[in-house]
Amino acid sequence: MRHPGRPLFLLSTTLFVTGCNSDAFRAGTLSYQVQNGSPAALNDVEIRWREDGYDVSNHIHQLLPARDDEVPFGRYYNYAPLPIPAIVDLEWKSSDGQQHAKRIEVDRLLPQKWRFSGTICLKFFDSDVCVIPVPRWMEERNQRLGKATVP
Amino acid sequence: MLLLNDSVKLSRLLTALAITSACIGCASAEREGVHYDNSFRNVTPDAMTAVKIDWDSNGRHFTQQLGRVPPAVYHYVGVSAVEAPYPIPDEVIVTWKTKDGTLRHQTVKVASRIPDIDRFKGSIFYQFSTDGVVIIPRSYAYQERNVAQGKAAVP
Repeated sequence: MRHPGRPLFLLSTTLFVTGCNSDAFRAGTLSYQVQNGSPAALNDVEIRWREDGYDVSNHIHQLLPARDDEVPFGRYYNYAPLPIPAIVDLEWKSSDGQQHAKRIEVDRLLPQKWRFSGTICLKFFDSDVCVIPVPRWMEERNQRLGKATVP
Repeated sequence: MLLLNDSVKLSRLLTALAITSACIGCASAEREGVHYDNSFRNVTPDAMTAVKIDWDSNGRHFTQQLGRVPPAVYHYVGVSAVEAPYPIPDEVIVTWKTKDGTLRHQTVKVASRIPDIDRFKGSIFYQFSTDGVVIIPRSYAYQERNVAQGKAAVP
């Protein structure tokens, strides 16, 4: 005889395992974006982090600013450090040739980074850089509502 | 009989756990405490460029650079800024460049245009027309309902 509680049991188990947690990390749901928020080009942009005990770096020779006539999306990178690194070290040269450096503690910006899915935007300015996490739910909501998302 | 009862109890327990975990998951999907976004809608036939907004709040200066805002056509509404700092500003300076290259500035009142501002959940639209910029608040519920009905989020 079929157990009357079985369908409910299976449903509840499935829900328990999956939930409706749209923020839960799924492979391939994390991307990185590097954007120049200053009016002039930035040079020798260096992004460094530690991943699985190894030092990883990404060098961008010249990071052009968004033109007036384009939506400033910046550069996208499908390659994303996994897990999201605790610390990212950044160096760049502003248009006047001056060297800048900043260490960003990602753990402080994203306290629940293990749950984050979406785009992590590194937005560079002449003498500063900030991290703007764009969660997947926001990208999806804006797409659904017919809007482009701009960090 | 004992097995059947245990199984029913287990299934009830798991159902309760599932509902709880699902609720927690849904609640954390939205950024805590952030219930609005600045959206930019262009109802002229030409793209606006160099679009940005500036305001001061609590001794800090805020700038959002949107760059290009193409005309809203069909289901494309415009551009939405990620950052949505509180408080919602009283006044904002909007800067944009028109097709002929003219750089325009306009100061608009924002907070006073939002109905029931403490409970507002939606988009603050900066709508560009040939006459300038107007602030139009639209709730997410309104936009979602329009999309569900096959219309643009803001017709």
